[in-house]
Amino acid sequence: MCGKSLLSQARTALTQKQITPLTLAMPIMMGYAPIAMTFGLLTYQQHLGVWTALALSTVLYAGAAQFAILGLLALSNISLGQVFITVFLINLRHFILSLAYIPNTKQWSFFEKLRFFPILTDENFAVLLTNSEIKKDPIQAYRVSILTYSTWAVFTLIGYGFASLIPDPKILGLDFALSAMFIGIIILFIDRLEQIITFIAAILFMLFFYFVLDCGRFSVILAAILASFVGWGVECRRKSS
Amino acid sequence: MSTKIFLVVLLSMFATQLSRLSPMFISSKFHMSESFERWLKYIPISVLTALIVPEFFEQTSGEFHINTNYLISGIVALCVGLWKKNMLLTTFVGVICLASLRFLA
Repeated sequence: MCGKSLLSQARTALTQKQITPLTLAMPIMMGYAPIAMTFGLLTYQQHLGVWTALALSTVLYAGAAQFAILGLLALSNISLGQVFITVFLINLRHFILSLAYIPNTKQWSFFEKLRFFPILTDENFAVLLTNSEIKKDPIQAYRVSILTYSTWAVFTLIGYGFASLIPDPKILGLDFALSAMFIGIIILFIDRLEQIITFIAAILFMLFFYFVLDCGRFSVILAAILASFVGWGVECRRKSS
Repeated sequence: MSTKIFLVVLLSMFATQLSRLSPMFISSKFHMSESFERWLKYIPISVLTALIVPEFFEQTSGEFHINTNYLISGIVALCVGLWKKNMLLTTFVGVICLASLRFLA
């Protein structure tokens, strides 16, 4: 791949002519790079080895949980049970993401599912669902995932290796890339009244669980499940009336 | 890599794959009902919305405050998104907007 074709792919993506796995993966890669670099940097600052950084980014491959692990490793006496429960709770939302993705994989072989689901992230999930063809294509969908997976691993290493040379990603505004991408995707999903109601319900449930009840990361799962019930309930009512 | 870290990596892998892989095995054993699949259709929008809500707040000394720069960039991104319906463009505009706000401040 030469730079020119990457550039022309970027241009077609911006003018929305032809969508390829790379154009789908690009906003995720943009958002992952600074976060993975920060992770590499923090691992280095905690005097953990480069293999630890790489192992966490490739074997665990889950942003928030990786930072939580670093926090736990900084404590002197951690129990392995605590590690398990922390990671499990932070990543429990992957259960509903994978479950929600299953209907798209009806034609996939066992192996195709087995290589896709272990590296499914919030961002891949969201981006893939915006494209009705790629999301059902086991090879194209896997390509999107593997591009973002490699970005995460490579930039973890860059962050670790060039710890002192890295500029603050905040200057470039890249810390907002994933949130801005999610906004762009949410808009693509909204085309009926039920979805607008689900969107508002999710905001309200999230404010309630996160800020009022202080449920932390668990709030995402609670809010998502309840807001989906609201959307589903409205759909059922509108169909029966 | 010490034994402790090796065990931490191994356990955290199990903890996360339990969530990522189990739906694949469960779904092959059970048939998903039509109304369950309709409920699942609302998961993407609700998960994504729930994930970004805390991003617009920052915590200083135990209290939550709205992060104005994020909020403005979010609203700009929302407008561009509604207008152009293009994910990549929305991402770029949001990022550039936040960078400019920080540059101007």
